[in-house]
Amino acid sequence: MIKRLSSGPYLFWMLMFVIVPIVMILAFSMVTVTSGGDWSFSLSNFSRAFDPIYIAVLGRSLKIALEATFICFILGYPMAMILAKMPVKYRTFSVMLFVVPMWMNFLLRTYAWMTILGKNGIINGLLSLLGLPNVTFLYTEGAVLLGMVYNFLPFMVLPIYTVLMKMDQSLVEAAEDLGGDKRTVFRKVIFPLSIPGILSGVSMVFMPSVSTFVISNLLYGGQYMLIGNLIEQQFLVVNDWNFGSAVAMILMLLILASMAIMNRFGGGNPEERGANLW
Amino acid sequence: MSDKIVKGLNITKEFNGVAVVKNIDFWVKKNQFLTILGPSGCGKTTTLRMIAGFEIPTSGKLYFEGQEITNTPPYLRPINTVFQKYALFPHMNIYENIAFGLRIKKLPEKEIALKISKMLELVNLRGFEKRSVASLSGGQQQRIAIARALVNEPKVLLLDEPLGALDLKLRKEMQIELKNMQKELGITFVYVTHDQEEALTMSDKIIIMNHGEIQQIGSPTDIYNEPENAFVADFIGESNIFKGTMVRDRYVTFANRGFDCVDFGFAPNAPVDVVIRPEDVRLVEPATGLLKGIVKSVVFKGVHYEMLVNEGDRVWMVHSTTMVPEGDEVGIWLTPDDIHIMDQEV
Repeated sequence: MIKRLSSGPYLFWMLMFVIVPIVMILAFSMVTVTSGGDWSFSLSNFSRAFDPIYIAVLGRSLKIALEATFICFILGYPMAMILAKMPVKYRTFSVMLFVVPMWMNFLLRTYAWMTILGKNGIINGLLSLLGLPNVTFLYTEGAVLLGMVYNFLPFMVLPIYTVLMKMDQSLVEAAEDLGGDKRTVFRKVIFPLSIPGILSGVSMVFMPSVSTFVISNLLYGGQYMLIGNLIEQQFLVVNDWNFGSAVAMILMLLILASMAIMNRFGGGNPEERGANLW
Repeated sequence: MSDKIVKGLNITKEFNGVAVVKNIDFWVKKNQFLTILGPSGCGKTTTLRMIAGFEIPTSGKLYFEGQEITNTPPYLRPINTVFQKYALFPHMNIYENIAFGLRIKKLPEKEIALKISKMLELVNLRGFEKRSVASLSGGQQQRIAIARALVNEPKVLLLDEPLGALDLKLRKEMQIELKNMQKELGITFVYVTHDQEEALTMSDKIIIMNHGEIQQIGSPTDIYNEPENAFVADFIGESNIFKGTMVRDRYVTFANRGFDCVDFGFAPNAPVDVVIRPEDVRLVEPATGLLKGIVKSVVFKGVHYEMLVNEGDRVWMVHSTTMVPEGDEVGIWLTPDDIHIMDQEV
């Protein structure tokens, strides 16, 4: 009985801040408002979302998010390995260096990139100092990608680092003992055993990348660039909460689906993969 | 061609400036079951890890069949290891675990399958190919770890306290099985343990280590009957150790009287350790004993009684199948063969 009572606050929290909002978004998305102010049930918000303009936005969001995730993985895995192999006395400090930028405000960090990449920014300043022509960095797709990689890289590095740190060193030794050189040991033992870390790293980078609107707002400008911007615009500018909710629902389903696919990829023994999101 | 398959010369290993293994010399003969025995922290596991190649000696040289391998990485040594906690790959099933080494050697799949089924037969786990590591008990995992190492037909098999995590009964069974496997396959075993009984049961030769130094090398019988110093005597089974004086050859004084003994070659009046095994002490009528004492405690140990006898300011441990009640006066009887004389530890 006490056990059941003690889960009360948690259940209340879940209900109020997870279930109710989702149901509300779902309800909003299935309603249209006529000019007279009458509410009626319809799925027209969803069919509207499949307009080619919006599909293009969705496609671009997915593409940039996948690119950012991939780059984070390529950069993050070796970084995690270097961190995990460091002697203990430097390790804590180095891991902290990774985490410290996250203590600073997310907006501030992204603004900083504006001043670096801008027309009169630091890089272009250096280029003109060398007598080279200025280059447009800001307000390009590349700038958005950079913003995502910069902001979300720690989320890739840390889970992989944790898995590598926890890995039983005797497994690595056993693989060497059985005749594996460094490459074989990595390919057949270290990498497969680090997949749970990779999966949670990928989720933790892909999800915020695919739904961000701040990074694209600041580094690309005000256009409908990513699906996050589209939703933001519907809520704050156009004031069409119903269509905004429909797009938000689609985005949610999309993330859910991609996580499901990824976990299928992870394969293996479900007991062995502790560190992923479900 | 020498029959010493592994040889270490002046091997020293330091970690952060602290010597864990101090200038030891040892060798392992072909087809021998060698055990490195010692309390925890004595450097035995470090020695094994140097033979495997996981640690590089700080100084000294290591040879394999006459060739130096001091700096050879582990994957190039024809040596395999059974790890203390088995170290089976959790992301592979049993078949893939055992196949690991064979796949690296790029053997054809048919041959791999054949070798694996033979190995599983050898360790009594036929039909376990598709099982996951997590579904196996400790004893079964241990057998798979042994199979995974043996399938590569190593010239030397290293075992790092492989039975430490098993219960007593299983441990005894596995001791016999391991010994049989070693005889059947004709592979050299180097076995590390802190369990002196295990070492005595299984080994052809035992190296006893303490504080990074070798205390004694010899056959189980030699080491049990003729321990070279008080540490060995104490470690390899229980002992009564008393301070004494070697008055002359074959005559020692301790416990306030003189005894005839069989040892000789000490300086006259040299201070020595006198070692007497508890099972060698005979309890007799007080009048006929060489020494008199009072039984302080009696503990039944199954095969024998363990009695502590107060004699003067000494306590004697006595193992006997006949019990003398607590508080009784007894005589202590020894023959010259029962008295072992050792140089006093500095």
